[in-house]
Amino acid sequence: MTALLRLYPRAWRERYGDEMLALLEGQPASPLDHFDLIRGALDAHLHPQVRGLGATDKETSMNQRMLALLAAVGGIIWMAGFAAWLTAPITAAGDRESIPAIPMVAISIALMGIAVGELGTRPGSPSWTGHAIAGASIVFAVLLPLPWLFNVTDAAWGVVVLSLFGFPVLASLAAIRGRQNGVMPTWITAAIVAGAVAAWVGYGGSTPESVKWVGLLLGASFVGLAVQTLAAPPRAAESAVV
Amino acid sequence: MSMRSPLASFGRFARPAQQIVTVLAAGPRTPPRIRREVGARCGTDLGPGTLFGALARLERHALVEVLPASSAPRAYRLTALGATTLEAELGALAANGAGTRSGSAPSWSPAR
Repeated sequence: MTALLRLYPRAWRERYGDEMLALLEGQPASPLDHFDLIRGALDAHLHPQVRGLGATDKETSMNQRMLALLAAVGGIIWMAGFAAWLTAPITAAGDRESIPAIPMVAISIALMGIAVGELGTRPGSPSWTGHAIAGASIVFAVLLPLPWLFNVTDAAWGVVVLSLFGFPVLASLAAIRGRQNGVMPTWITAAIVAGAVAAWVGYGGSTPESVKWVGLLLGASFVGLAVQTLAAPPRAAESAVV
Repeated sequence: MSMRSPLASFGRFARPAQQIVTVLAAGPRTPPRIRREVGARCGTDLGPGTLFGALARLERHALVEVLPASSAPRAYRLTALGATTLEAELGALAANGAGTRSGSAPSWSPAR
């Protein structure tokens, strides 16, 4: 049983560990209790509640730093992927060779989606919306390379539309939600929404070649999100919303 | 203008938190006793992860506080804010259930 308690964050164990042990010593734990402890540990990591022990703010801030890192890496990979696509040779069919860019864009979608979904959630507040945004981004990221992996190019356009056009919408929604939750400054929200619009313009078949590079802006806005988070991490909620 | 209950932001911990503050309305309780009384009153077995997840949220929102004690299990009690919140919760539930309630006591009925 103490092994399960080790799944909890250190600050949590310092505050509630002995009380949890006292509870479990008084009543043998059922299999459901084991499951409940694991679920509780996951929640304690995702939504740290324990404050005032020093370690909690540190752990919260560590989560924020990890998410900032994901945003930065995702943004950079996105820009690299976009640049790889724009500099790829034109195929006989008249399209750009997408294969080198697709894995990079897919990975960046997953990283940026997790970052913006979770960073848009007020620390300490349980929110399935943030998890849903992160999860949907992962689904988009997994779907994107499938037509190329299985050589089903007829399906490629549908998947591209869903993933590449859908992700900027998700990112914008997450950023607007972060603004509403008071954890994202207006300029970051505006930058992500503008980056999402720029990504759409960048994909546009009728967009002039020189303008397609604006698609890089979405990656840049995520690097901005990372810098902002590292400079001023959102604090745990006093009164949670959403 | 009506104020939103802090419990509304607790997600899946809202109902356990409501059950805990209801039990604590009768006086300070240790977690093992809270678990037993919630089980007896509401027929719900609060798992340890859920119990402490809800207690942590209640404590962070200053709805409950822990009584000083040298070792576990420590007793928790309602704060003034917690008592006010409980009253508001029960008032809201009574208002919502006024038209539909039957003769049987609701599962969240306060300590008597």
